Amino acid sequence: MAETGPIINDAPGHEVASARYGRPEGPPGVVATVVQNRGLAVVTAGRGKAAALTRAIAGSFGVELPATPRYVDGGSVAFVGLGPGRWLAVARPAPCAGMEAFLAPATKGLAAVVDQSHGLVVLRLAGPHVRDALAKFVPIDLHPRVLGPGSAASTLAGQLTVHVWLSDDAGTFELAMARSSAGTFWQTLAAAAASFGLLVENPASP
Amino acid sequence: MIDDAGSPPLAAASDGALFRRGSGGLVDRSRTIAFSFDGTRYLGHPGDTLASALLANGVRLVGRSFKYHRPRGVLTAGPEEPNALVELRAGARREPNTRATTAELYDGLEAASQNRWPSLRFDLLSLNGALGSMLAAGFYYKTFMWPASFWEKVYEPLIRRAAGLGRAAGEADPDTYEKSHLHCDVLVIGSGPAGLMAALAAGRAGARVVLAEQDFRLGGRLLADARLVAGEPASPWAASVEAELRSLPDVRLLPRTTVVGTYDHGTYAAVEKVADHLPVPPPFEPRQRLWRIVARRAVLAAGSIERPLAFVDNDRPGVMLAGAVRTYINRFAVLPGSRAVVYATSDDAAETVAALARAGAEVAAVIDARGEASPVLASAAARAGSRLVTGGAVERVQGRRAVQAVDVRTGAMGSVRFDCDVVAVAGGWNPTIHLASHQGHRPLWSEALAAFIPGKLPPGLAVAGAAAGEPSLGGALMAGATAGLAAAGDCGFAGHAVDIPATDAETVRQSVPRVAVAGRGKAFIDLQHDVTTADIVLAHREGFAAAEHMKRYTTLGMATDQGKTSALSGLFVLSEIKGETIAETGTTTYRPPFDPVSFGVLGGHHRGKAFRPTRLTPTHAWALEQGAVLVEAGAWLRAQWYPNGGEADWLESVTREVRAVRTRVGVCDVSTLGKIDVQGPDAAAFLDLVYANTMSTLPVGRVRYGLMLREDGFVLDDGTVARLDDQRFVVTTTTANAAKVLQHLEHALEWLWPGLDAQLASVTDQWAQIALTGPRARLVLRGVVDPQHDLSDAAVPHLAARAVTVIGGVAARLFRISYSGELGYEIAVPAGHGDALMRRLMDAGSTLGITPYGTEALAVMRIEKGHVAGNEINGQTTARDLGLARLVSRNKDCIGRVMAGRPALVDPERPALVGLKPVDRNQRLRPGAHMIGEHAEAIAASDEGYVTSVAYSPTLGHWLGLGLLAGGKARHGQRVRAFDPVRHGDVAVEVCDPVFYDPAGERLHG
Repeated sequence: MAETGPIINDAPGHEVASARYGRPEGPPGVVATVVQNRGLAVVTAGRGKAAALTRAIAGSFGVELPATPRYVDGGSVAFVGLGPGRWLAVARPAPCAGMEAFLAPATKGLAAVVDQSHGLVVLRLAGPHVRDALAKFVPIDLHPRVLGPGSAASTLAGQLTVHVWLSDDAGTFELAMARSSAGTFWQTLAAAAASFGLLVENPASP
Repeated sequence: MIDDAGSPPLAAASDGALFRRGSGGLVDRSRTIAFSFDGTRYLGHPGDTLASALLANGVRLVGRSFKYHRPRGVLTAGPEEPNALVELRAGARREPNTRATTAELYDGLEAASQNRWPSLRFDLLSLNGALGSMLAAGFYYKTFMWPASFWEKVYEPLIRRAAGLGRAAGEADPDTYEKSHLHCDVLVIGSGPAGLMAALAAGRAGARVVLAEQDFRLGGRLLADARLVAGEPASPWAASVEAELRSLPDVRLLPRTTVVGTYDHGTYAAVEKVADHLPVPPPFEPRQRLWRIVARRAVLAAGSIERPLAFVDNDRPGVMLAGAVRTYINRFAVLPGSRAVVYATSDDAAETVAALARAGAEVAAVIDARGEASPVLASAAARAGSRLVTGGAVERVQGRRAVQAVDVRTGAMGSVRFDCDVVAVAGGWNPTIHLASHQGHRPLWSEALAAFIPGKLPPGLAVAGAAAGEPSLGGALMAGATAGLAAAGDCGFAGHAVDIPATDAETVRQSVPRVAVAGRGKAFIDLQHDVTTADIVLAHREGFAAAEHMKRYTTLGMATDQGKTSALSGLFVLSEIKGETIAETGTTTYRPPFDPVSFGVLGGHHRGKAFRPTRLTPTHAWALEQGAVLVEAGAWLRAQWYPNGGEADWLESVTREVRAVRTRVGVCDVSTLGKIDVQGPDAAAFLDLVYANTMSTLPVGRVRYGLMLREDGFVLDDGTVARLDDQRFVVTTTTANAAKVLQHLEHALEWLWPGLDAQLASVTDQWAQIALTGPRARLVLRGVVDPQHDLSDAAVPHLAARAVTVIGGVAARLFRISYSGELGYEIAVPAGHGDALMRRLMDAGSTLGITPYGTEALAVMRIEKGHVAGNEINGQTTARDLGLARLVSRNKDCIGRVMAGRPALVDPERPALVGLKPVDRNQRLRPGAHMIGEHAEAIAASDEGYVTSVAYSPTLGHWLGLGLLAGGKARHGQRVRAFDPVRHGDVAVEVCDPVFYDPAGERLHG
């Protein structure tokens, strides 16, 4: 991987340095932002309890859990469909008591809630060439007709598993990936976005 | 036909090239670029290929052949070229076997001829040609049979030096390659008349269209034939279609992109030559890109490839395909010769005759191999003022490094010699059906078209134009438009029929596929592998008469060009020898890739360390600060040991670390162990089914060692199970088996017991887990656990699990477990706090002699304690073999219980776990050594088991080992030999209990 600009080293996901990578001229084609202060949890419905869970979540957070890979935003918490009876809850800001306590009133007896706030790293990817860069390592169809606002997918990023969703109408991608291998993701992204210019913004590592 | 007879022939062009015409063609005369071939400098223009620029400069000898080192020139004008292979570029970028006919000319291009020594004109190994009768097909197998030992040492190196093509660079490739994914409604392969119309029809309908073209310019034969489309010359018409396609938002044009393979479910592989037409790739751009294209529909419009004809010495430089001759004239404004003979079995040659005449070349003769006079060819010959020989055949080429004349058999008149410097050969056209055949679909022989056309097609693929056997331009335009519209319609995009532009009157190609070879000498079929008609005769005579056998015996079609101009011609010859129809002989199997693909582009960015992902522990940065030596454990990087200044080797460091843990206290990041959260009303029942031992009886707040079996009764993995509350457990797996165990559990839950209400989630990445071990562990622990938590032995006894807070309010899980055999804890915190926890532990232990230890010390201590690990849980051992039979509960069912009871698995003579000590305590043990009886002969029949793990024990002061020995426990106290033929080890060892250290486990308590 020559010529990807400053080398993104093996830093764990949260610790990548804010910098411009790849092509230095012009506006960056891809802007990657490390998302901070999100609470994350995997919510898995108990056997035969998905409908009851959906009602309980609707009652507590005002959103309907998607039955397909979709992203729904309830304000304080959003849900991403990961699979049958399984969702990623994304709370912002991260609740002080932790995700398990935060979701317990709505899910008690209906679902298993497992905090992943530290296990997953969330990045936001935007820019005019974000789809071109993602296409180099994400195998699914990224065309706006197929993957538009509110879409979600659990797929691959190179050799890593990622959860992807589009949280707004501006075509911003959010990606959640395992913390331990996030450094590999950064290297993959830096290589894929090198020709477009990549700007990394990490509030924790300015 | 376009009449540009006004342009002067052979006028000196701006590049000074003698054979470049003064006007016409699609080269950019406003710019002149320099290139070199075998060190000589020449000039050309943008828009040239290396082949067209060489021909423009009168360079016809471009290489030496593979086996006979015969002089070779340019045969074709496209990717089917078998002959004009060069080494392109120099140094680390040197690229062998590059086709001059597809290499786009750039300023400063360097090329060299291949397979010649000392020079292209004077090649010593051309002597091979004189020995041709000895070097026929199969000669390797016959000639170099004896003595067998000579093959590897003498024959093969000699043959490799003499044969072969270009040389690889021999240095690391300095360029990058990448892969990308593309999804579309309609993939159009090829941008000739059919492809352009297909893309236009589908694109106008609103479908997402990808148009892939191997050339750097769209248009296919429209660029090469002087035809009129919609009343204008074909190439500007193609450019106007291209412009419209570029204006459509969902149409993507991929020039310089060859679709190389058809795969399942509408998946295609394509290679884009992003920067092959540049001296070096621009910054941040790859040289090539591999596209994985997923298309709901595809239109194969790959055109057709012209067939050469066999005659003696038909490989001399100057013998070219007729279609290529007019491509050089029309597209590149290059005249490949000034006096031509056209040899045809096809009316299509008429266009070449006309092109040669228009360009000012003399056409000495038109030889029509067909018996009946062809009016089309006759009138073309008459207009060109050339002699027409009907029913004739070229017998032989005169001239060695270039064509000087041909001897033509003229039926009744006998043989006539025609002086000429180019022979244009028109043997008809083979539809380019490879991509339609990659999934095993056999093509069909069409007697009417005298060609193989696609038979059954892969789902979603349509074939249009010349690739489907369509002989006319008008028909190709129509077929493309129809196929494009239908493909878009299938994807839900209803479009309007595209107007089919009118074309000028055209000759419909007709041909006969095979012509008998007259005269003695070499008549080549496969120019790249030097396979002649005589080789095919020989193959047949020796019994290799089936198409696939003949191919392999002669290697016909097995060179880098994969027989694009030769494979079918060879089969036509074979069918004639066998007296079969061509359909009866059939074809060989078409397999991807259609075109040579570099390994670089298949690897993409997955080079070096990026070959696979790397996983980093939460304390990675801290470990680097300590100077840790890292080791790859699966995808993880773990600290293997922490060298101290002055230590001579790893053993010294590891010994120090072990002593520190045994006498004081140590810390080790164990976050890499798999961690799985198991919840739900049936969680305990589920764990009882997947673990050999009982977990439902585990009280809340306690940890239990657990053993998991596979369905077949062998051990799958081991780990711990902690009960956090009535319905929640966290289980650990070994680092290596984390993914496998989760998969196993998910399978069991979703498939075997879907009625159980339990939920699984991997929490490996969520938690940092640090082992704190040694007699002083509790003192250090006190320094990091918040003060309200009682850490006394009574409050946190051995195998307790507690929820605590650490380092000022961070929620943590505290497990009192030990792998080393000392007083031990594991502290789990959310991963983002792992680094801070480690630093606080080091601070808290600084006055207590705390020492970080790595995986080596971990391994030494587990061997001292006789704990099994991956070396013993190797997929071939049962719980009984590992001395863990007591863990397999008899009171409940579990996965693997029944199969573990099979007679062979309970045989008392099965190798089982034992401890091993060298009788001479100064001797070193080696893992992998086999155990044999003390006085047994060192042969396989004496084998009684092997050494699985060894370590130098600082605690006991000598090497010790674990092993699997026949009879197991019953052998304690006996002596065996650890015999190691690989490392010349033969050590007498004493068999003992595998627990070498603190067998009563007293150090764990208190």
